[in-house]
Amino acid sequence: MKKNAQSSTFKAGMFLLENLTSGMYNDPLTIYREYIQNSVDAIEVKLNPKGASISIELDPFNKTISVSDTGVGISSREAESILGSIGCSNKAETGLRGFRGIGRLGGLAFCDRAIFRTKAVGENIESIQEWDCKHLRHILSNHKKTPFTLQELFYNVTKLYKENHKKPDDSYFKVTLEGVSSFRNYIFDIHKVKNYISQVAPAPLDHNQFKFAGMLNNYLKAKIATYKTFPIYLNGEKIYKPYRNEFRTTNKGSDFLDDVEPFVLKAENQVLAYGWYGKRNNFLGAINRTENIAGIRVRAGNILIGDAHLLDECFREPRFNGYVIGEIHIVSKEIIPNSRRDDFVDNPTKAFFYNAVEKEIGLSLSKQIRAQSQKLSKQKSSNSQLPISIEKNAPPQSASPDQQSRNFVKPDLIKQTEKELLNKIISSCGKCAKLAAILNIK
Amino acid sequence: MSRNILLVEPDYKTKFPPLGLMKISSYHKLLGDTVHFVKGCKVENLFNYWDRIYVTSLFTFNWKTTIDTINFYKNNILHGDTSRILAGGIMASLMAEEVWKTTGIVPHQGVINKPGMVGDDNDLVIDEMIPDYDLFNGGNYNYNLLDSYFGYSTRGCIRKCKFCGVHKLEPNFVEYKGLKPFVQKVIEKFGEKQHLVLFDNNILASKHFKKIIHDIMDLGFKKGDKLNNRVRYVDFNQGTDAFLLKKDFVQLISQINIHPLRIAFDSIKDKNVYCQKVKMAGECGIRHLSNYILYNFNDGPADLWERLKINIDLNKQFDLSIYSFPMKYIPLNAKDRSFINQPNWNWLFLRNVHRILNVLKGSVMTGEDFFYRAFGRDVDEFEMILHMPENIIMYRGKQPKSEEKNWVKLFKKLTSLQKNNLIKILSENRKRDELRNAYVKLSDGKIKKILEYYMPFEKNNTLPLFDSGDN
Repeated sequence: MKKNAQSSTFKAGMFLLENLTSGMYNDPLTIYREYIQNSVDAIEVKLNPKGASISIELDPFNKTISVSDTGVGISSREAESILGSIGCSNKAETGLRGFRGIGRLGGLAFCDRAIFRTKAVGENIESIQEWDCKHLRHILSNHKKTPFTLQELFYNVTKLYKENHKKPDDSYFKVTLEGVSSFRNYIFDIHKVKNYISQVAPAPLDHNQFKFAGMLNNYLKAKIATYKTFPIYLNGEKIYKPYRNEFRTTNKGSDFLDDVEPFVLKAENQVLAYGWYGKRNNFLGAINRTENIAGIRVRAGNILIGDAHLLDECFREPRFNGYVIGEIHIVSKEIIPNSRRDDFVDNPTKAFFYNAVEKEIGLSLSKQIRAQSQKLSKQKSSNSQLPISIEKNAPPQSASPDQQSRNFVKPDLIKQTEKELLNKIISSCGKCAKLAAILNIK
Repeated sequence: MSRNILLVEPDYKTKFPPLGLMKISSYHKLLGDTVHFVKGCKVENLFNYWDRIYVTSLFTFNWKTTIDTINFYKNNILHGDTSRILAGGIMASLMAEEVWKTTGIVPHQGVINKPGMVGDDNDLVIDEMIPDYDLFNGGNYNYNLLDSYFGYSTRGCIRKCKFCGVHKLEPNFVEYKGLKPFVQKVIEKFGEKQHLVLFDNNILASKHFKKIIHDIMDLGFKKGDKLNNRVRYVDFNQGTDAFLLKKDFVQLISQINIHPLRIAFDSIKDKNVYCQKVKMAGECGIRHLSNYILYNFNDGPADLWERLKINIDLNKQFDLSIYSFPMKYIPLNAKDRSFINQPNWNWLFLRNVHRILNVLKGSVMTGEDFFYRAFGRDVDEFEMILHMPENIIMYRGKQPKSEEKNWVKLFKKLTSLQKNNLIKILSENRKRDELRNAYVKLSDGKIKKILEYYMPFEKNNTLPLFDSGDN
């Protein structure tokens, strides 16, 4: 029996590759995350990472995208084995962000040709791997009856070659995607791409826009040995996380942070994650979603997991997550991002983590939001006794609490009406310009 | 399957209908699609499904209006989907990268002169389509030219002038595009039109110019030809190149109902050539001429005045009727009209040229006396006029009124340094409050006195005049 088992053949078919490319990511922007993640790891392991950066260049006029880093690169000796393998990452035990060896395949689904160029310090050879993605798609859709093995397919659509390079000191990895297209062309919408990268990538906090940037940096660095940010450029513009002091809210108002509150999430004395949330000043309304900062976001290796809604269910009402700002940085090695990085691999620690978020963060913030909402309702009912006509703007009785808080625009209205009343008083004591000037009435 | 197509022209001011959209309309109607035209951002379009939205563009200085329009349709109707919105036209072509960076939409650049350029799989070329004259039916749009055949008999230009975008938009010079089949198709679909307006960028550069003229004559635009008892005019709207205007060409042109013949006079350096060509036109019986005069480029006020004066003299000398159209230079990538070619020009001077032209409705009339009153008898007087306050410059009338006389008296007492200071103060303090503050701070009595003429709005104000805080 044993002998038979040894001689039985194992075959990895070509559709495996389809699963790892077009089958993997429904949002084309995800490929930016995958390439940034690889670049970040390449910079992380570089001996002298000072000055190393990541550049993303979008050229929609030539339908080309490139993502390059000046990280460690791959030596010509290793290029064949690393680029010639799929799902055999050597990073698995290193604590680096990518560990499955499939991320670089993400772009294949969205382009006609993908080119990987890389070089390590101290050599004059650049290794180049080209993928003919058009041909790849052709084979996948036309050879269904006689499928290739994964290996046959790989040899059919890729070629690896080397070129001389004049700068031995350079090290880099550059991905170039040519003939790029995607659903609704989102992949080239530079605003969308910028918003996406700024929220997902391990970009720095912007000291000019966010006064807590320095404090949070110090806190996260002190607590998380591996916490780092990286210089990332999109068409020459440096990318920062979108956090800022002031932000718009859905009730057409705005709010700002009074402070930030650091916290730690633990399970049975084991630290799962460190985080922070912002203490909003007025807590009126959810944060406008175009601000790209709402929700407690979860990050592993400072790269976003899922999206702004990952922790929605940890709040008493899922929408409450849209009222708050914050980050959770995973430190436990047992909380493992899944392949799509939209959640974590199912295991007991995942449950500990979500429970801890609900208990320590979700619940207390939900209470605060609810209390604020009740306070507003009370104010509303006392305001309605004022001899000011604001009833027109009041929500109908059946409106949901959310609608009510959104419609709660009365403070402004009152201010306005006060001004009108004041104007009336002034006009009744004669048009005294000086009084007007003193009272600053126009 | 029939698609719903929305064609949008941003809400900027324009005389001519959007030719590109008219061709796109015909293209889609040919494919059986439903086409709807709209000017600007219209909320009623929110509640329709649009398979595709085309937004055209024109001048780069309409940047904000155009970008706001693109964003309105992209964000409110298509929810960020950039694959169903196509931006094109002149601004979008010249500033494609910036349009993309601002809106996320990759504009189409240049003329749509190959099949498949808008993403459909067919052999149709949009640029070859007959413009859809019915596109504006039912709307209140007031476009000119809808009673004209309008289009091109050539494409592109042989020159690469720094101030012009044609060589970027239409890099290849196409010597001949048959006018006859084009006009014939317009007649078949939309009936006969009164006039013919050609937007050729350099029609004289075509080696088939003679053939083009014969086409025009065959189409019923020979000298004296009429339709419905009205003369049918031909207009080479983008002007003709004085350097290419040879005698035999002028003779050819004189055989059609050209009205007016437009000749460019971009630089005073071209004076001799220009005068010679105008004289030639006059000799061939072309009396109505029009003249584009570029200013705020490499010139100064003196250059502008001199070129205008040359036209006045030519009118008199050869009994012609040349209308001058001063055109302010704006760089090809400028997002508004604020460009000033300093130090030759300044804000006040450009503003005042504009004010004079506003009174004249854009063109400089042919009469000598009128010209001298509007632009001055010499360069010095012109420069003085360019210093005038708005209320004087715009309401001068035939004879100077006392306010103007008093202002002139004060102005003549100023030294050139004081004049420069006056320009500086007016250019830097364009708002009422700013000017008032500048006035209050000013110590030079002479400038202060003349500055009061620039603040007529203070006279009827109930607030204390020029309150410096001492009461």
